[in-house]
Amino acid sequence: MATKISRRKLANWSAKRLASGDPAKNVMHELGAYLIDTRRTHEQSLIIRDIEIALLSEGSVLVNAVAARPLSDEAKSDIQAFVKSEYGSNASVIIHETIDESVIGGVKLETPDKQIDATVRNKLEKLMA
Amino acid sequence: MADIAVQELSKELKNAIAGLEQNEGLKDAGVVIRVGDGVAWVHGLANAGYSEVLEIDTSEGVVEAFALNLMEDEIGAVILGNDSQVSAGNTVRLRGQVLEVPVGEELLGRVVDPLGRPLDGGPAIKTKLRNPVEREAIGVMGRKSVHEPLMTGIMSIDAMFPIGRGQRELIIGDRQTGKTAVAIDTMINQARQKTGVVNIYVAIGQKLSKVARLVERLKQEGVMEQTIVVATGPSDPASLLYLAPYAGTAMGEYFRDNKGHALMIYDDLSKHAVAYRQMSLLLRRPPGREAFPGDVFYLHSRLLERSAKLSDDLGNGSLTALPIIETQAGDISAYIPTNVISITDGQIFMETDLFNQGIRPAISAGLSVSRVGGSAQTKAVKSVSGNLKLGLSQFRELASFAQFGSDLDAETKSQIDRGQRLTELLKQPQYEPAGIWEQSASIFAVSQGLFDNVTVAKIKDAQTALLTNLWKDHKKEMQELNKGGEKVAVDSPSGKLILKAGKAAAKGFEG
Repeated sequence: MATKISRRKLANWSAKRLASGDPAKNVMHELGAYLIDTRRTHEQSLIIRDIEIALLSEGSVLVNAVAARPLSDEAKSDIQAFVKSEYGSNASVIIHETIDESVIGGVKLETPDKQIDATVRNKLEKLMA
Repeated sequence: MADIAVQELSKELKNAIAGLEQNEGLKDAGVVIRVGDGVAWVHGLANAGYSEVLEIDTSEGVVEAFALNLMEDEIGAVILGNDSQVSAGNTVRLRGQVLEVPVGEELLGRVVDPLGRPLDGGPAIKTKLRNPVEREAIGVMGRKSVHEPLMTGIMSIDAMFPIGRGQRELIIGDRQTGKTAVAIDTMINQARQKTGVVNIYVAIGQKLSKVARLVERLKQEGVMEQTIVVATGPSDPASLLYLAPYAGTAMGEYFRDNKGHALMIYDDLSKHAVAYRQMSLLLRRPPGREAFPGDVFYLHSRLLERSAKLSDDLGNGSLTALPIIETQAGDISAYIPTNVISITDGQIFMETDLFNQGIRPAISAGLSVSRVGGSAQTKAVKSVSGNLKLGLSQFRELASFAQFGSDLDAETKSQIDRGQRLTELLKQPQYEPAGIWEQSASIFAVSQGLFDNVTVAKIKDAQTALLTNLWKDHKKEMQELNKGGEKVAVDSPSGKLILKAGKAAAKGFEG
């Protein structure tokens, strides 16, 4: 019986391929075929998270910025600088913006392995606690 | 006045806002992928350490958990609160520290849970210090051999299986044989004899009604002021039952490390092992013998190794442990009993048959042993209890043999007669621990044959008369004897007094 390859190893393999310039479509196609073959398709969302984490060591940081209103260019560059201060100045930062009015104000940044919640909602919750 | 209050409030609010405005930086975060039966499986948090606290953000607030399974793709964490609040997709953060509990004298007189939260309805406990629940045991050079007595006040234990400060003595037996009673009497004796030993009673999955009764009794006896009760009930999550003895030990170590003496009672480690088995099976660790995980020995050995007598350099403090194990139908060769027997420095075996015969405490003389306590016994008790254990064991053997016939030689008959009187003497009601002088005088009187003509049924009456007379007429000498430093012999001053009083006391009860 073949040994099950861990998600982390699959993610590292995919991240290395992506970082070396292989088209994402090809890498995901091969990965998808492997998951179907090994009946592990239910793990797809976790593997995507693992690939995002593995991409950190390849110098790519995917950031999800949650805010109540669309971010200004100035705010985006501030976020870029802040994330680079945490992950190194050579990191390439890709910001994905999510609008959620329930956060009221401020911003919540989610990187693959870390997060910071500087939203007004979080501050109010802390005050209430 | 109102102005000052408004100014203070304004300052407080400014401080609160300033605190919240501080940028804490990016923090490690993961996500719950599965949850159930008190266990959460977490994705991410590659930097998590073993036994590190995780904070799960739920819609109803933060729920704590601690990481026990660190695997390549996920972390298995045991939830410390209500698992129904946790759902898949919840964010999990690392706290960056292992589990800690409040420690200090502020806990004395309180009933707390394994996280140090009050259960007695009293005010919140504010201590200056917090210590980790799991700590490494003191090393070889930090220890000293056990040499100070820890008197239980139970004659049969103090005379035959003496316990020293820093010793681990197991109390083992079937259900309803008086195991907890021995532990409670020992706690009461610490208060009665003013030994200064702090009691820490850890209830692991015990019925809360039993814990409530115990606390009430300790309050009545005036022992609660020097006692901490760490309580978990059968409805608590297995994680809390697992933590309880470690948390209690952390509280006891505070006294040990500050030149004090503490007595730990773990009631009981069988339930602790069962709680750990539940957690391990839910964490999908492979089951071994009796479905316990492979590290169940280490579970108890690392706990009991923390009990120690410290060296002079470390302040001479001590932590004594009285773990309790419940056996099934007297089977001491089951997995957990053999493990704990091999870890501890002796065991007190409680027998159902003796209990049913009315011999209480129902301590088996043949199966009980104390491996290190002999050197900690007080001179007074040691001098009178020389071959008590051997005599009593031989008597019980002879007594069962003698049931088959009545033709016995004189020597055997006298041995049986003495044994019967000794057994009667060692019966002791609950909540009445005896001091050193009472123990020495009683045993000396019987072993010298003063009560040989007293009928067996009246031995306790003769003993009471002896002790009353001694206390009434020779209070000063008995107080001196109670210090334990003086040997009791036929030609010693105290021995002469006991012989004289014993003869007088026996006269009223001869049959």
